[in-house]
Amino acid sequence: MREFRHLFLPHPLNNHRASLLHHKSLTVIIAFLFIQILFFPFVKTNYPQVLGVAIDISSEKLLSLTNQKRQEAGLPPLGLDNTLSNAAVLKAKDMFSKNYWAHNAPDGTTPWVFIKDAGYEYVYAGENLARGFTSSPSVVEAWMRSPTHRENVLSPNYKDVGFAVLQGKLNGDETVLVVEMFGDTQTKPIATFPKVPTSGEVSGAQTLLSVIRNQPLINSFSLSKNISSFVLAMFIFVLLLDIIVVERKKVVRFVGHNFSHIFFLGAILIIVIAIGNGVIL
Amino acid sequence: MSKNLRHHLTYHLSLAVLLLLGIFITLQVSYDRKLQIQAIAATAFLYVAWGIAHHVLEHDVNAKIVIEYILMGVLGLTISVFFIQGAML
Repeated sequence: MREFRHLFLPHPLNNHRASLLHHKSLTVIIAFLFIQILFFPFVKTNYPQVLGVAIDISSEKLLSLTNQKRQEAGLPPLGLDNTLSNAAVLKAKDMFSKNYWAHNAPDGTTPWVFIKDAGYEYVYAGENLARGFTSSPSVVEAWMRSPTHRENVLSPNYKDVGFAVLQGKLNGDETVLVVEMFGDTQTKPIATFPKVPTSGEVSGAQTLLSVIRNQPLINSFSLSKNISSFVLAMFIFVLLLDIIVVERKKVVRFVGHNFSHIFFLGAILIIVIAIGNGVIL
Repeated sequence: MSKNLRHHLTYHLSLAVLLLLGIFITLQVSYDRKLQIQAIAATAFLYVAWGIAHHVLEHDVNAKIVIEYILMGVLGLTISVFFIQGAML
């Protein structure tokens, strides 16, 4: 018990410095994390059903959530249009093949080219992009938080919507791309609200639904986030305890500044909490 | 304001600016995991350099303190890489 306490609290027996902050302990923890860095990709590659990132994104759910937001805003729901979904698939494939993440391709191709190429004669059109998200609600919520994307979701100018959910490599990283394309082939305004479709109902005869679903036993995203946050919080806590005890006992030591370490580890903690939630464009 | 307090404020303000810049750049390049790791590595390296320079200017630098800053920098970077790798598909 005493040894356990010395891990976290300064004491004459641990040279007035919590044992966890000793060079040896720090080296052991770094070595342990380093082994995990090598071990994780091995398990993820060879046993994807055990360890991997849990993903559940489908165009059906995206349509349902988009229409829910529109109905909450008093707008008519959008119909899933296969031609627009084809355009979205063309756009997503183009981003993977030409390795870019933008509305316009490096050669200057605009999103409207894909819509025209798919055979959709638009009067109004729009595009929302997302990558790196793991669930349909998180994608729609991110779009709703951004004024320009929200404007697309809640625009009265659109009647149809199409989605593509594709997995591939971008800049060497495996990722999931979501492309949402909006459009209308008629001139505005339409005086009457169309029949309200229920979630998943589509305007075309055939449904083009794209789904990416992966449910491993252990979600590596949550696991790594929880372990990282726990280790960082533990060190910040031990450094704070160290400051309090040493100040109270007026011990003079020649060590690094605890406040600086707390700032640095706190910055890493902010990064760990903030990143990995996907990006929109 | 005492000279000592001003002295410490300058150090810690410069550290805060460095770390806020590190957080900002890392979040800005969230579309590319490798760039994120590079941004965190640069922040960790600058933190170690800042810590050592701070003690040099305070005339209390020694090998143990240098190693401590290096280990803290490596710890922060290792945790970040561990997390980013776990978050990758």
